[in-house]
Amino acid sequence: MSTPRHWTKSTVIFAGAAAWGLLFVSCTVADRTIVAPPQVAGAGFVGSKKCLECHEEQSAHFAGSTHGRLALKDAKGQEIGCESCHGPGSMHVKVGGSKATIVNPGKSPEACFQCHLDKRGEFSLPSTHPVLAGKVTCVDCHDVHAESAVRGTGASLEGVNETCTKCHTAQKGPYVYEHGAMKEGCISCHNPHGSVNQKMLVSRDANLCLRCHLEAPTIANAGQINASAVDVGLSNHNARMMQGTCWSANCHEAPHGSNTNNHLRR
Amino acid sequence: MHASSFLPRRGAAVLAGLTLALGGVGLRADTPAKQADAFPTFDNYIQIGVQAPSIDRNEAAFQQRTGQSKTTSGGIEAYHQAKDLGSDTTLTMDGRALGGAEDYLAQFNLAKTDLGTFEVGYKTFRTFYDGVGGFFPLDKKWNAMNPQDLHVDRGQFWVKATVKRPNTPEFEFSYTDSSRDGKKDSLIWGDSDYTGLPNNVPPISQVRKMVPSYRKLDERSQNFEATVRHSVGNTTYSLTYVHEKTDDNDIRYGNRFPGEVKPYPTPAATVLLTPDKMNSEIDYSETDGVNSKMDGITGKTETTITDKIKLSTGFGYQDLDATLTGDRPINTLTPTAVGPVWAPSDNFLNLLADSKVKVFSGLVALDFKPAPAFQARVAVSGEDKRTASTGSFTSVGSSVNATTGVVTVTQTPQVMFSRIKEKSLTPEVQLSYTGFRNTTFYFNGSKQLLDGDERYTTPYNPNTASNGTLANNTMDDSHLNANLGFNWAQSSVFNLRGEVFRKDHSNRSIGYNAGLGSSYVLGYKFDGFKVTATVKPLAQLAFTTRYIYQKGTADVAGVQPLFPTYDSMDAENHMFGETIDWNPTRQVYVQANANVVFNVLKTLNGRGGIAVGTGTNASYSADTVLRNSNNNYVSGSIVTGAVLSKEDNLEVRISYYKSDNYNPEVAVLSMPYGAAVKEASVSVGLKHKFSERMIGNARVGFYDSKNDTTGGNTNYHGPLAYLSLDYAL
Repeated sequence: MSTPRHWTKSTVIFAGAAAWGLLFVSCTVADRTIVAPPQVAGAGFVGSKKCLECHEEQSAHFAGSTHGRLALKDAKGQEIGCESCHGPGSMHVKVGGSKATIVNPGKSPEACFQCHLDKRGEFSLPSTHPVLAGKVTCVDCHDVHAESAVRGTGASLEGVNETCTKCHTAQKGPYVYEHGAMKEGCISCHNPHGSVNQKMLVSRDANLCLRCHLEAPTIANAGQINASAVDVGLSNHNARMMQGTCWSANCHEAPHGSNTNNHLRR
Repeated sequence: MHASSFLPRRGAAVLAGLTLALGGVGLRADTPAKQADAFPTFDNYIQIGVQAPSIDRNEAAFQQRTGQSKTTSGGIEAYHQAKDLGSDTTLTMDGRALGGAEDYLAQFNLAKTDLGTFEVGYKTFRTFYDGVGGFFPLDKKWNAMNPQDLHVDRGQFWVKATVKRPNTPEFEFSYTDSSRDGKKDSLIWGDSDYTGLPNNVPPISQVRKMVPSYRKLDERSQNFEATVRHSVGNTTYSLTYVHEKTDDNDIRYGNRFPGEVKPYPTPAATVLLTPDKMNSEIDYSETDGVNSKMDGITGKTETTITDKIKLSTGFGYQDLDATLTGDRPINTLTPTAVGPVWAPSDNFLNLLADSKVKVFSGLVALDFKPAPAFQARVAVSGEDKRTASTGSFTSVGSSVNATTGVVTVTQTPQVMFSRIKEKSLTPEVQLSYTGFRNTTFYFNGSKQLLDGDERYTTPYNPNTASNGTLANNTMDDSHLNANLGFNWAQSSVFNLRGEVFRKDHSNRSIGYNAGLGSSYVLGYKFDGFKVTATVKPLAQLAFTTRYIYQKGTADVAGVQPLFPTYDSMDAENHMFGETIDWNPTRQVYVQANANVVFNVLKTLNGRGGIAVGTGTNASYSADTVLRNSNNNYVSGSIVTGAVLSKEDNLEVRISYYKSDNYNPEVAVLSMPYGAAVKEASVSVGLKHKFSERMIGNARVGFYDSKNDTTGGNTNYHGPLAYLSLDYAL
């Protein structure tokens, strides 16, 4: 990489003068505050107790929730749990609850990205749910006010995959021969927030499967890539892996489960 | 970069930045800020917009990557109106209608104080797919899918009603009808000999899996839920009934060795053939049908025993009955003396299976507060799940008379069954403590203990055998998940959050009786931590930094003790994120985001060993067959806005993404799949207030994407223009 020649001292001075000019012009011509989303221009914090007056239902279980346990407070020690995500609420309170004066994380992920910086990066990857495009939101999958923000984890009446299978019904099964990895959860193989790999896979090659199916070689079969699941293994997969992934055509084409083959081959 | 010439300029830039920041201190107004010229916010509004891209190169890749249509699209972007129908009734209407993008919404909500709500709506949106296959670098071979308009429309119709009257039971009803229709690409790629590799160097095949395929989706699910909830004394009771119906009929279309057919007579395999003669084309389509009905009931109670103790209980029952159907016609082009003929091979037809699943579940939880600053929850859930499946299909094969080309089809009946019983118990503890000044500590740990029994047979011909290969396995799983963290709000200037986490799972499946000798024992563990710090050195400047580290290992054991435990995975992930929010004045904001990720997943590489050569096969290193899977990337964005005048705001957005994990040199012994993409986009927008009731938006942008993994075949670039008007109703 080389520095473009036109980046001269004059350019820097000109750019600086332009920036100062912009600031000067904007400060003098209009009395208006603008802020980066998801902030609310001109609003201040009122505290969570104020929110409870109207939104009792949303806050009923919040204290013991994943987010509630963080007990976020403002500089004066006032509880601001609600406003941590919904933005400062003074204008919202003042006008009696207008939707235009409060941040709704159900409409935009920016509120979540304030803390979950890594998720902003993941949702900008080539293979992801269309969250940045506005077609899917964080709250479609996460109960942000509930005891567990990730559904189906810990002591729960829900299954670990229910978040995914409510939309991806075809992958829900049941199958005559189910892939055992489904018990571990869809996230064993997919990163629902995004991946550099197609279909949000955590790996694009045979490493994906070998994480759980790579068996020990023996002295007699040095250099042999043994992959197995339940049956007696030592099945030499060298030639197949040279050709492509484990889930390629004519190989293990049914990674979620099969109704005709216990090796998930079709 | 020429460091010597850059440094002075960098110094000047830093100085200018500091001056600008400090200047901002003086320019910043006190909070709450005056807003004499504030843009109006609309409670009721309609937004009309139109968008027109002009993309060069691969338009399908643009659509998939950005989620935007390659054609001009526009219409009503958003409509919202709330009307009071009397003193205690409100009607709220929302809508969207974007032709081209095929994004629609219509929603009506009627709410009456002290009575309830009624809502009805329909929405649909479209997602796009590019249908790419693999690129093989040696011969620069690229298999473009036949022109397929790949997209899926996801629709949902819903009706919801709630009845909430004071001091009476609450009722909730909902019905949703969801669908997914269209075509999307699949990663079940087919084979090709068009790789440039010779076919006379066994055992290294010239075949590579790189031919694209796609699925046709026809999925519909309906869900009806009814809940009644009531409080008696200190206890709230709820009972929910669910009826769910799924009707999926998907077809996957695949193609192997397209454009190839072996010559007749087929010469010995070692003879050097041109790619079009190395193998013979195979076409297939696989239909997967799932028709299921599920009835479930869930009951919950929540009792406030004292202001410090709360008891929650729950139970659930689900009964699912599914009919699974399918066909998989495969036809192989077979060389004969009279020319190539299509013959069925390895088909299955008329799959008909029945699968029944019954799930019982229960939950008991106690929330208590032994001290004002100490909150705890102890819970345990249990589940009993039984799955039983039986089915049959017809296995279809054929023989071809090489002289006459006559195809003789053979059909063999096949039957199979499987049965799984699982019982699990999951205790969980959650603790939080806020006794230290400005600091919160929390802990969450659960461990699922599962035991079960699995029995199945491989498909067999009931006319000639009484069973296939039987499997009997006991299952014994243990899943520990725990995290311990804190939140330290030191001051308004500094906030620090940290968490350590562990995931320690083991899955054991041991054969007995007919399955004696089978064994699969998997153990895997992830440990890591995350740290998030927010620093606000100035009221108008904030830095938020997050670092996540994760280390994962796994080991697999087959039949013990002959085949010992083998370390099957070693994974490491470093994720660094930074957000800088800067408001140099009330009229300017800058937000910069960056993410840098180093992610490596290692299984075999480094200890694959040397595959010993034979008389006809050369020796080679197994390490060269599979490299580590690297998933590194860098992404960033800058968004800045400024007030230009009383009526105008400016916004500039810049984004960047780069991954560089492509190893084309592995092509000799494998298929390079890693991602190597470089993308950038920039847009400039102007927001103009025409009046207190109308605001306009105009934006122009430019996209550029370069993809080495696809040999540049999915590159795209071009401008996009956008216009919209917001009007207050």
